[in-house]
Amino acid sequence: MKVKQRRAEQEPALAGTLSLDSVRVAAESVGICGLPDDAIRELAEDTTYRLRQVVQPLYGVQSLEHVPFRFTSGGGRELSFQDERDLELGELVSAQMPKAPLETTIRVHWLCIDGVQPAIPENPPPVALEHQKQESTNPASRIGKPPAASPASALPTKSGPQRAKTIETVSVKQLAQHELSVELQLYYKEITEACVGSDESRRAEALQSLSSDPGLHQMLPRLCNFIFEGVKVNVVQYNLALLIYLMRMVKALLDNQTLYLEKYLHELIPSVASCILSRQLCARPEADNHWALRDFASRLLAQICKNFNTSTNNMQTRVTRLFTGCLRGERSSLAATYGALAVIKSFVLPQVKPLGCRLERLSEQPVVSPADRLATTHLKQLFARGLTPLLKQLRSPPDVVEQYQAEYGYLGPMLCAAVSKARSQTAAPQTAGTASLGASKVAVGAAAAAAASAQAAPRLGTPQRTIIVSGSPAAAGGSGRLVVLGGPRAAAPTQDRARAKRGQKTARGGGLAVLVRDGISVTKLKMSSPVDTHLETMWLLMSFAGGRSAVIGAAYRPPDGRTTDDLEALRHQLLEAVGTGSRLYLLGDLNIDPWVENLPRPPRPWPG
Amino acid sequence: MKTDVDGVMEAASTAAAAAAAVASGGDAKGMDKNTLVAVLQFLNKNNLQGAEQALRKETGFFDAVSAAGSGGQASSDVGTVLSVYKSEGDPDAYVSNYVSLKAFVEKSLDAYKYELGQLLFPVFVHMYLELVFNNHPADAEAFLARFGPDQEDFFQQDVQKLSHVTCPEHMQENELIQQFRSSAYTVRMCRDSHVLLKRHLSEKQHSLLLGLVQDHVVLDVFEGVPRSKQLIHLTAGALEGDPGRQVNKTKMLFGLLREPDIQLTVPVEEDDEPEGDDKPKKKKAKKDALVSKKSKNDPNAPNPSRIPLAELRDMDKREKAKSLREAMKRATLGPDSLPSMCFYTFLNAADNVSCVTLCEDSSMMAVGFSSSTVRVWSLIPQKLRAMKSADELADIDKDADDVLVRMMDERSAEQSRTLAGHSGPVHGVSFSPDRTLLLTCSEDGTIRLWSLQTWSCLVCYKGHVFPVWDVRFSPHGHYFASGGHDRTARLWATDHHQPLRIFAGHLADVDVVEFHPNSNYVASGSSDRSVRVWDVSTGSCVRVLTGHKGVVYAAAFSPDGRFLVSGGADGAVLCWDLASGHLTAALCQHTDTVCCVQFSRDGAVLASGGMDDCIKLWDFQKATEDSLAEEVGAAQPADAKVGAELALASFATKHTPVLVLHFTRRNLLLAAGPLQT
Repeated sequence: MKVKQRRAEQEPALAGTLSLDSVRVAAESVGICGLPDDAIRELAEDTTYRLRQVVQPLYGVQSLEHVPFRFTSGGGRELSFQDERDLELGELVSAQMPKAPLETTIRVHWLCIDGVQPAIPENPPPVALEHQKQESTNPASRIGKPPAASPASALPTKSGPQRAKTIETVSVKQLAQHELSVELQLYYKEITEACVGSDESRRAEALQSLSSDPGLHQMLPRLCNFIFEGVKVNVVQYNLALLIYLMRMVKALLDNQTLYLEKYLHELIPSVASCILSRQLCARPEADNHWALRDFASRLLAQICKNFNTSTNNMQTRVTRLFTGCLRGERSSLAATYGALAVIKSFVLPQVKPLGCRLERLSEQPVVSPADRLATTHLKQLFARGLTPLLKQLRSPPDVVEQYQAEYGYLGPMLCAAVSKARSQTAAPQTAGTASLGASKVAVGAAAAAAASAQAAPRLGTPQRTIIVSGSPAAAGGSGRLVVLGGPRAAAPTQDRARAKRGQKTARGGGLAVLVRDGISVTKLKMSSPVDTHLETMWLLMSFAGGRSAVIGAAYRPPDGRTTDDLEALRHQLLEAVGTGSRLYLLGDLNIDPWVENLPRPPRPWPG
Repeated sequence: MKTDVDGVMEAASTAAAAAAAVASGGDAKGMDKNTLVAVLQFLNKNNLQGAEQALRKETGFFDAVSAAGSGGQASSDVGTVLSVYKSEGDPDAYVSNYVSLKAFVEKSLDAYKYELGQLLFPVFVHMYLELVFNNHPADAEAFLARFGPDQEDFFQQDVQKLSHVTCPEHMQENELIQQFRSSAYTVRMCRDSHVLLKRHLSEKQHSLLLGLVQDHVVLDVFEGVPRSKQLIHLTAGALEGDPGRQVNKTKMLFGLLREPDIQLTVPVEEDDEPEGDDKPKKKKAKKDALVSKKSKNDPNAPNPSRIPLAELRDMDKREKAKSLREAMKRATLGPDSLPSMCFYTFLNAADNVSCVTLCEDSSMMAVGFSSSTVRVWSLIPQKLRAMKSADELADIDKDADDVLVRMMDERSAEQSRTLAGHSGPVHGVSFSPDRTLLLTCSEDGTIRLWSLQTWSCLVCYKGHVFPVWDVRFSPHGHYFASGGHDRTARLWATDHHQPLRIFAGHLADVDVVEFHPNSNYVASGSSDRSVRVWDVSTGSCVRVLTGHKGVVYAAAFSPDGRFLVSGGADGAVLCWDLASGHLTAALCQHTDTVCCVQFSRDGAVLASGGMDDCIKLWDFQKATEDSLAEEVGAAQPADAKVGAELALASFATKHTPVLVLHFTRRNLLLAAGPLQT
């Protein structure tokens, strides 16, 4: 037996052969023990063959799900098993029905009319984006190839020998098609008129057409020229409205997925730059909002640079140089400086996230060279120093780590900390209450509830003190006590955040905390806690100086789960709270979307 | 051909050849001899020399066998002697023999090289099988690993299948092997190539090769110059090798049936055309031509009574007349006047739509879904109506002129209707010519006949054992053909629950069937990469057309019945001349599976569409002008035309594979496919 086993081990393992052990386990699972090895080998061979016969690309048969085998070991055995969970019938029955698939419908369009494919959205663009790109980045690619590259030119216009002759005589200069059909000429007229005309609805249609229609390829030179000339004239005449319209045209062209604009950037960039940097863009600089135009154009320029920057055209470098030059120039107007700054802002900020990713990857490597580590530290410092003031201006006060993380990636938490630190430094003279007021807004979320809290304070007769915070209690700062509802969610915020990052909707770190100012005595009320709902509540009995008291209820309901159950639980608790006889205030975030759920709006403060 | 092989055998006096001769000679005693051989080998194996000698002397004629037996190795047991795969030679001999054959092919003159090269694949397969059969798994594996990748691309799938077979037991039921054993692989070659091959095989050390070629390969020798490289490449690919010379010799009656006389109610509605005076004149002339052509007697046309066809009803005659009137208004297509195309895109159905068809007058479209349902859409303003209930029908005045209209329930009009009944994905749909019936076939192995008046299932035809991949109504109604996974195509009549004919011969699934315009023939395309044409009346195979390098998914007859066009997974569209069975054009510009091919109503333009989201138009007149000029029955096919010069235009769709193409009576091209999201 032993000899045989050794021989079996020595046998070269064929790719994808069923192992003897698997056969043995399978045999044991049906109650046959002690199979001789020979039999097992025979079985393994045969089964392998059958499996190979079966595991072939069969057509007509499909399995949408993979079979989820899981592995476990214990008690000296190793097992593969199928994970079958117990399903709650009740859940299944009460669960929302899955969306029915949309009904199959037919849509009809002309694929071609008398052998010519009309350029409509239903048809693919006449000249593929890739082709346009190749043509503009590598013009030489066209030489040497037969001219029948695009489907439109596949029409047999010339006979064989003639074509051969033209190939011989064609020089490096390309044949550009300069003819516009009558329809396209009409279209051009209509579009340009609509874009700069006074009818806003027509303009919207025209821009929609520019941003979505395929087949504008041939008209691009004309459209770009129109924009170029238009800007040239209107910048001098301070015609703000027209400049805005023209920039919107640029935006529409940029948005069109079927166009590749690189060949026309020499016209577009100067136009856009003019709208950013021009000393004066409107007749009355003090009244008109030319800042909006500068902002808009700077975003356009950032988009252009992002789309078309290559190592050969060095566009980003050139554009940046242009604007830094403008910043340095003593004589440039303040408005122009604003524009230049706006551009640089829209350059730098989008870069923060990718750079952060790079740093993260670097820091995750097991071995980091000292030079790299030093560079990382310096970069981080530079970011913290340079970006903090900018971010402080740009972002509205509530600084939430998650938002920062979402926007700036790896560097987000650092930036967030720096910004909030900077804020707290400026806000230091103020009370801690105001500093964390912003945070309350975030936590409460629902505007209605926030409004309720604002109303509650004055009626109470004391300065507003009670604040619900979520996420990072540290950000609240200042003095006061935190009453935190202990719970699975609050206990493991990091885990929750990680889950939230992975995009699961089920768990959003929803803890509850109430910050109470010194001098107010608080007792937590015991309520019949909701058992099977996701609702989290906390009820506090506040006693104010002067013997008055109030009950403050804080509630948080995560957006998933069944609304009715949660509301029912809340109603029970409210009834209990009413029993205390004090004034009652309920604050919270119930995450009920009145449009989605056909239910009454979240409850208002209960009338005392 | 058999005599050729005999000639070789006389030349080669090797033991193996003699053994083969003994084995093949004397059929009556064959069984007896085989048993004796087995006994002798058994004695030999167990060293019972005395008994062996005695037996040998007694029988007398076994010297040759003993030579072969002793030269071979002792691994064979009693049962194997009965098999085709004799055990002989050591495993290394296979490798050396194959290498020498390969070298021989490569060193041959270019003229013969490609013909001889066709031999490599069958030799490779059978050598591997012999190795496996004689229990040399390691050698077999090494052989496959070494020479498998050398085989042509289109054989790789088969090589892959072959690699699953690693021991003799597997050979019993592997379908590929059964195919190889049941049908000999045919290789066509000219006499010069054959002489060269004979000379090579007669060399002493190639005895093994010789035996193999004799046993398993049919050498179809013809007189004349060797076939060109291009032609060989174009026709190679089928699982059974080349079609034999005799296979495509049967005369095929590809002409159209004489049209029944229909009093052409000359269209008085000339006011349809507001054009000037010269236009109608032209139309008249053309109409006359149309009519006269129909009435001419075609020598290639079958007798109208060759297969029984249903009598034309008044309704059918009216329909015919209408169709003819429409035909007069149709657009003339050609290289300078391309058709217009209208595309029907299915939305929200990416993986769901499996087949689409349109009815002859383009008024309805039927779609088969993988969710087992069938849906019929009306493409014209007139909606789909159901028949009234029996009670209401009784009240109708049967003599009224518009009785057919009155039968229908106006309230039930709908734009589309769903037919549910199948229990598996629906793979084929087909309208009857009179548009009152619909056939569907499905993975559940059944074919169903539906009434489009009551919108219910009328018959469920059970005959195919496995999934049915395609079904098609005859252009004259009544009959229909189907093809499926059981490797057969079948002919049915709507009033019989059993098939009338079973066309067996394909080596793999039948994926598409198509009726000849005269209803006397059925074409079938298969996963064995060949197209066959079957005679409905005799049930025999009259044409085997090889050349596809992948599964054949589409087939269409030209309107004049002379040509057949097929498209397949290799992206090729091949045009065949049915008169000779020759390939006339190979149009290889699709980059993915071709799902549908269709002729314009006048046969001038061919359209093909496929999974590469593209419809291509081809100049079919140009593709066939040579073969039309050529004498029918030329032994050697003219060189097939290749794609480029025949391409007229290509129209891309937006992420939408083209599942069906249909020319309306006026030559407007309709196409349909599901949008892939």
